[in-house]
Amino acid sequence: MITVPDEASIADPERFGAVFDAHYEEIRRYIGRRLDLDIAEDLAADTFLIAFRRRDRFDPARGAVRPWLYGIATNLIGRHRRAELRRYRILAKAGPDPDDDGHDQRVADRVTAGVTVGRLSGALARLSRGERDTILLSAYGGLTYEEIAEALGVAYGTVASRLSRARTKLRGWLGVEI
Amino acid sequence: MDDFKIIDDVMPDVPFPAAGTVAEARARVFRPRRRRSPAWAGIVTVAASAATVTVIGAAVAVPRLGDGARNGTGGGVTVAATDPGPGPSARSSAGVSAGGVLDAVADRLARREERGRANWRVEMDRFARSSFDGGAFLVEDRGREVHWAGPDGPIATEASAIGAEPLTAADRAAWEKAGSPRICGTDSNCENDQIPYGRTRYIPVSSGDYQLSSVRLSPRELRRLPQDPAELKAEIMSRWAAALKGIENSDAPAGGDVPSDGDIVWWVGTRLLTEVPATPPVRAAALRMLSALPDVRVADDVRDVGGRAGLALTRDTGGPYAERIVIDRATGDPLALEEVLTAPVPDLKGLPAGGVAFSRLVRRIGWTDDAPALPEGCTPRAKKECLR
Repeated sequence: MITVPDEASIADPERFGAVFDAHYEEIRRYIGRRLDLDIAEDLAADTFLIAFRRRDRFDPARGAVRPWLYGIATNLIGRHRRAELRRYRILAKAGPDPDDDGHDQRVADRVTAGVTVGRLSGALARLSRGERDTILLSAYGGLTYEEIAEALGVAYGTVASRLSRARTKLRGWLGVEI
Repeated sequence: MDDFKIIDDVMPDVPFPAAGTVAEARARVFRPRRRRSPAWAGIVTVAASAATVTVIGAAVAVPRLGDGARNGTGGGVTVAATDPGPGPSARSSAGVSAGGVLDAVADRLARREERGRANWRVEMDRFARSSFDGGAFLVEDRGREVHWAGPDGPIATEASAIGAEPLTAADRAAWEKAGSPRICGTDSNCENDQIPYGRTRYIPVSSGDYQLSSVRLSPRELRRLPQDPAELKAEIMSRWAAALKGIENSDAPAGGDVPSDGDIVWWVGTRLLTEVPATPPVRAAALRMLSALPDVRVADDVRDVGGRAGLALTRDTGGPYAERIVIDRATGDPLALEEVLTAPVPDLKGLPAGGVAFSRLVRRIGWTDDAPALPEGCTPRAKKECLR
């Protein structure tokens, strides 16, 4: 329902409001799935504050605003790496029940195959930071390879190789095709 | 792209934003570029504002706390109302200035005796307007929130999604003309997986502390907040500074924006009034503290989106949104916390200046013997079955 603003217009402070409205919820959600929500709320606002301050440096020719925001958010998450790993450790020990709300038959199938919150959290914690950033931008943000490359400021090939490595590792640890 | 979809499917999701947090985050990002002031700048600003008090509509400059000595007004009441015109008025029908009404309300509130009961409850209806289909029509998203606290701190929040509809008859016509597209809530993909329409998410709280913006207070600290407006402000500022020290990061751009003192006092003060069981004298102090902010106007007979008239404290943020809290004149309790457009904005096309973009209407606030009824199995730890 939210109107996505013209990418070229974000340098205009008034138009930046539309950037916030279009993307705040998903950025908050992305951060909130990697860090505790109290930190995530702050970091989500910080993401837009930083973007707003740096909006004149945003070059629409180089990419879209969405991966740019995800990149800022990912950098902020990187400063809380220990908190993220701690969260995975807690989830690995006492993850929500597999039949928790919001989890449907598709998830039940996965769980039957042995992919529980606990096991997945443990596996995410064992990935390298770059691999984790890359797959979670894909999993939670739905970013394409190109967008992940823009978000993280790395080459397309780097994204492809990180995803491939992460997939191999997860398959080994979880015993299922991811 | 379906890569790693399993992670998205299996890993826990994020609850719906708590009341006001999105508006607050928005305000934090979009307040005008406020200087990270050198110490002297505040004095200059205050002096300048005192010299050039411009009053928009029916506004009253009320005594400034703590600033009086600096700007030479001595903290006296400056009533500078212009033609009140119809609607919001600086003077009530009895001829009392809005500042006078505020004083009377705060006095009454400070004297209120509250009987200790089991729990504190705040029930609110939430309205958020946004544009749809590239500005073709406006939509109003409606929800409900109930905040519960007990003697030992916050207990739970219940958040319900009611539905979304075109705002006006004209918006409805435009919506029909556009082929009656499905109108979503806060999720942009129409799946609305946080709180589907017609359902309630229960969010049990595990922490024993209240979180008022960046200020964290234990129940005991909340009860013992200063009852003097200037001291309350100083306490908030000092707690905020301490909290900020802990989270400040090194690569925040130099000279960048930080919340102004007004932002901090407003954010924390409005939450003291609308969310937590602060004592009546502290709430009265919070009212006076907010009214004394340099960019806050006080006006009487302002109606919230529910049509209820009250005393409004409106804060200009410098951007296209003004924030206001509407107070029940009889009790001093909040009626509404709202964001009002000061000028039309492209992302709310069709909503005129003065229109309300976001509102939380307080339906009930106070101590009660009722208790929250969380679904069985929904606990801060398990969070099982928390969506009903």
